Amino acid sequence: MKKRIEIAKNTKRFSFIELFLPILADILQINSEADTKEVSNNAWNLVDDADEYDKVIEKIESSRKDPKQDQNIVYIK
Amino acid sequence: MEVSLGIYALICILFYIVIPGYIFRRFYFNGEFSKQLSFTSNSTTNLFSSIFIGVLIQLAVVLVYNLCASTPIDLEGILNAFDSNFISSTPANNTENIDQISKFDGISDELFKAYLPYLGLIYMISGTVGFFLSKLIYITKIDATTKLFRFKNEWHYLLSGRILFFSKMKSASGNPNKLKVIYSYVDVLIADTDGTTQLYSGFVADYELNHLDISKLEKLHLIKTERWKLNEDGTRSRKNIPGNLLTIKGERIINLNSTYVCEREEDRVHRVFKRKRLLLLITQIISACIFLFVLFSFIFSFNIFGSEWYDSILKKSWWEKLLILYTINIGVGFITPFTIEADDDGNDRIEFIGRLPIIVKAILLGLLVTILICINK
Repeated sequence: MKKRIEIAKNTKRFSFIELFLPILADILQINSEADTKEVSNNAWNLVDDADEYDKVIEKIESSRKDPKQDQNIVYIK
Repeated sequence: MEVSLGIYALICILFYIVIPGYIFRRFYFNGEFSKQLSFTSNSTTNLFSSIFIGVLIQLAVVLVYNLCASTPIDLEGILNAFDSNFISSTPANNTENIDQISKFDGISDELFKAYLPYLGLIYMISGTVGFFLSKLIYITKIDATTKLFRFKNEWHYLLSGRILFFSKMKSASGNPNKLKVIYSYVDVLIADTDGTTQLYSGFVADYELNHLDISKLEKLHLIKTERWKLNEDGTRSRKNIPGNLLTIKGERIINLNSTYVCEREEDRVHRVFKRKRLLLLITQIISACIFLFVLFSFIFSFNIFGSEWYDSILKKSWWEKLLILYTINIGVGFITPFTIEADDDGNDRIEFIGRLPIIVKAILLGLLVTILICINK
């Protein structure tokens, strides 16, 4: 989770570009907000984060065993 | 009924209607949706869609230009004189005007001064508008909530969890507006060549669509994949598959069970953030478009405002134009001095860029404006 947040922070921070090329920073931000690969990028980040992986798998398992769980949607927060 | 089209009418339709429409659609269907517009897709539908969008673009550009310019575009006059404007009145063997003959013999100057700059500008505008419109539709999730705007890539909606925002799915998924899909975990039942089946589970890393039929899945890539094994006592156990990525051929998939791992966001905070974010992004799109249109008009020396003062700017040297563009770029930066960043809990929020960057920008802008004033004195 922490890794994902750090990556999200780093990819969304364009301070130097924002300062001298604000239009480019705006375009990059628009592109980042309309990121169609966000879910698969998160999955790739999960490979190096064993703690987060264990936590997510555990949540998925417990959610599947719970008959009251809404449509199999798993909440991690 | 006979319909005949002359060569100039065909040129006019192709270069002024079809190509801008095609460029718009090429940029509109970008990234995950780029296969929606390919050479293998239906060419007649593509042609008519391009013509329809091309007409809309032309009408919009002429309408906006006529609102800004002192001398509006007379479409009827341009179309009537379209062919005669292509041919130079200077005969090829006329040796009196050496300068004109040395350029492009028999081709009118109108072509280089008016038609080609306008075409270049319209192509660039088409691409820009297509690209940003696509982003806006994706950001606002109009494609998921409204079927009319939905991209023809059902696998993306399914594998990214965006399907939860479909109106049909809303009742099943609760209030999806408060959800943010983080991971997509799938159980895939595949058919082996010997007639048996295998069950795999893993996180969706990527996928590929069939290039001939985009409704079909060509390959599915999973990471952290596990294979389910049937034990002798009838129970199932999981076995981790070594390796980084498991690729499953789409044609072998029998069924697919998706589990979406989401973050739930607080209703009030989420609504306020969503409104602010949308307002910021729309402002950014508008300011970026205005800057890009000015940039394109500089590149093609086309007077988009149709005014004399803008004409005098277009006649300036390239480095002066670059200085003006950079000044506009810094100036526009004051309209949107915000960024969207993740806080320590992973929640996105709108952040002001800070006082120091604003002061630096103001000094830079002042410096640039002073230089421009000094140059023009």
